Amino acid sequence: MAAPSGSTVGSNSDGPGTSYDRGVPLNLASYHEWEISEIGYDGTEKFKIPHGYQEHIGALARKIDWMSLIGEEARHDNLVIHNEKEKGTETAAVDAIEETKKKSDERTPPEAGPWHVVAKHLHASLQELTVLLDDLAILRTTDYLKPMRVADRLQDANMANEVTAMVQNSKAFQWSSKRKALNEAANVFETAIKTRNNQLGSDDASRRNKDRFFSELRRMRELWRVRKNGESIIGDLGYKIFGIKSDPRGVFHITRRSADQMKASGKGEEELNVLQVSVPGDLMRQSTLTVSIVKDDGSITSVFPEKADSEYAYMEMDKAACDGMPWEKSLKRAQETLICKDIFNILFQEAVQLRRRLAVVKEGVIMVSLYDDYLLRFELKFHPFTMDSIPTEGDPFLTRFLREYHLAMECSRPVRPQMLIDLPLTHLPEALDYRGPLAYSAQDIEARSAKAKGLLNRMTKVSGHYVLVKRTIAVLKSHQLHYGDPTLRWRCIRCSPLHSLFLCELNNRNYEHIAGKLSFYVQVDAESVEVQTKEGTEISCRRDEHELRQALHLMSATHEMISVSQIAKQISYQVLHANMNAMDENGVPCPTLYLVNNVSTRTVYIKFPLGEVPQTYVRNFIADERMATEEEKKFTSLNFSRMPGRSLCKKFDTLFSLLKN
Amino acid sequence: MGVSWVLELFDTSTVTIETKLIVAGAELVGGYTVDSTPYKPSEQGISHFYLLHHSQFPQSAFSIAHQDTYKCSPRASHDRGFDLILHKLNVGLQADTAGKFEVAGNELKLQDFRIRIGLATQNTIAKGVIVEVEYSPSSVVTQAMPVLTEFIEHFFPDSVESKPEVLKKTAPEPYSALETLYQYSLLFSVMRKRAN
Repeated sequence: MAAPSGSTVGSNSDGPGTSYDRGVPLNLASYHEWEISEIGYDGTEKFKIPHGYQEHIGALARKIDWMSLIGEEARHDNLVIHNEKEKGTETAAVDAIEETKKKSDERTPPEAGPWHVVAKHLHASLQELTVLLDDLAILRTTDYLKPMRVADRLQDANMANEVTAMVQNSKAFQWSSKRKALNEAANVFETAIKTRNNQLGSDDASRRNKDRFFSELRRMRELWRVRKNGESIIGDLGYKIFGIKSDPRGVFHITRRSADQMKASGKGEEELNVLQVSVPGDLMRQSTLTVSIVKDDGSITSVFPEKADSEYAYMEMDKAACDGMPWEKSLKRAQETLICKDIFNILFQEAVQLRRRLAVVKEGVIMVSLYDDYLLRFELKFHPFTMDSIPTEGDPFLTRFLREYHLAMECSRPVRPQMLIDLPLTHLPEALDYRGPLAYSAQDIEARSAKAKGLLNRMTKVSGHYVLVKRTIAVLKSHQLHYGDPTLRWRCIRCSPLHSLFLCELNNRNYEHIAGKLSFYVQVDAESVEVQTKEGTEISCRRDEHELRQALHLMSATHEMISVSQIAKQISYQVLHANMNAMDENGVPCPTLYLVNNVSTRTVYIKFPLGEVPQTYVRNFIADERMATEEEKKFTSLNFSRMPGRSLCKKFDTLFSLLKN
Repeated sequence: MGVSWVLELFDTSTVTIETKLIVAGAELVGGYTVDSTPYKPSEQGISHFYLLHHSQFPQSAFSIAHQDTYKCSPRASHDRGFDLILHKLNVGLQADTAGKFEVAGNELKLQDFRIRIGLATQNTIAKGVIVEVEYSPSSVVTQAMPVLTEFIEHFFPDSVESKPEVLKKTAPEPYSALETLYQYSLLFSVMRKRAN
């Protein structure tokens, strides 16, 4: 019986994704609790129900000393009152009561005639009965009182021999009787074990065999899904979490290798496994699924090389040899084959449906065109089912990425239904959990739902990006090697499978305080590379290494020009013009700088062609162009390598100091 | 989610309206259904309410209890699980299948407008033709009303006067799906009272 001892108001169970504060969790319990009178063996509690109004009155009534109020000789019924009532006068009845009160001392036996004895007996029996009823009522409500049957007492009474009674009740007798019963049970168990041992065979070796079988089976259950199907035990090579398990394609049978078979194979007992597995035939080979990038040079043999006969060796399966392999390895290899085949099937289906790219499939090879002359190649290769390890091929990053992505897709449920609890491993974004209560229209739900991305599409994007990142890094490194002034420093800021960002900095050593740094970004997509300057200009280099190099040279030339003009300004030179957008006669950008010294005697004209040393020209300052001679207008070209100074900035610094006056 | 005007048309059939709109350049997009089930309480103290569904909001269920004005009517939008919860509460609230209304018909698209034309039936008895015009780009009533009124004037000139109460707003408040369904339930109650 449950008591209203307390009520709990816990925190609200909201739907998933609520970000607001859930408030303080409350727990209300009342101060008064019912006392527990008894706790049953199954944990149920029996409470002492407190007194109600009637019971309370009864308790109080019991405390009243009625005898002192009424008197010793009070009787249950009052014959005088009844007689008076028959007369029908109320006042007479009241008087009669008062009279009886006065007469309480002097009692006379009622004149009942010859039946007074019968009346007394009936009275006595009525008393006995009421007492009995009271007893029964008490027994009913009290838990610890139990009536004993009369029959028991009779039996006890009939016990002629008191000694036997004493013996029966003694502890010694009880102990010995219990021991006898236990002995009988033990005998039964012993016979059972004997018969069981006889059934299993008394051979020590076979018993050990069976023990080993069960321990190996337990170990297998930790790694693989194992089921008992009637008499046979089958295992599952499937790796899917959602969907059909124990697909017939991936089911293997488990049997026990008996001791005789082990002796017949000739190997030592410890080497062989007692557990034997039979792998499905088409999975009885080792396989690799590799991804690589190849350049198409026009010939088909480079793309689809001829297969030697040895490559078909996997088709000859020696079943006995396969059985001889330890099950840990054979099951792993079989599952690997299953996964590779599944991935290849998915890629094949998507390749067939590709619209914007070309795809060619031949035997176990899928070729998809990436861009330019590059092809993405997926190859599924089979090897014989032996203990030898197989060579790894292809690009390790892309191969592993393919596997990771496929298994990540397998681990997510495609659709998440509306649920009140958080469900992990689903595609559906959390924002859509409120599509019901917020009454999202059908178009809204469709627009916001996550779409499944194809495996092949993603692989092409990732491979394209991977190739471009490698190329960009190679270009940056070679630029660093060959062009040291200004020095280029670069690092990768963001790197994701589809998008990367590099930060490059150009600076002149020892002249940072004058010239400063020039930083720009190189952004690498799945399809193209772009150089972004701090001003917001984007130089698209598509997929061309040459263009990227030119962009780097352009940034260097710009930085050189800025640093040289800063150096000149330091020595109070005047900048007459600085043109970053100037071009040379071929249309290639070539920033120019025209300076005059402080005392206006000498002018310096510097060109910064891309990828080459700057060209410097000096002449005397001409006040009026019209008045000057041809001789005076001519510029003297300076040899950059002959200029004193180690670095570019140092050279120009020295030059400007020399030309100061 | 746009602003919708639900109206009832008399003396026309769904086919005529559809042809009129297709001539004007609308194209058929698909079908739609709206249904309403009244729930009656078995005891005093609970007022009865209507549970509505609209195929445009496939994951939602709406419950509306009519009072004098829209603002005072208790109403809520839930996900479809509410139907199952109501089933569990059938001790206190019973579905009244006799009063169940259903509108089924076609949805047409004309530029920014979505027009849903359907036949309203109460348990296989046809009660009338209901048209819902939704102006999708805006979900603010005060912004959408001029365009919407013009549309209604052009195609359904008789119904311009009977502008629903929920669309008579002065302040720019957002419009919700509940208001569309409220218009539907009002029309259903009018149809129910009508003899045939």
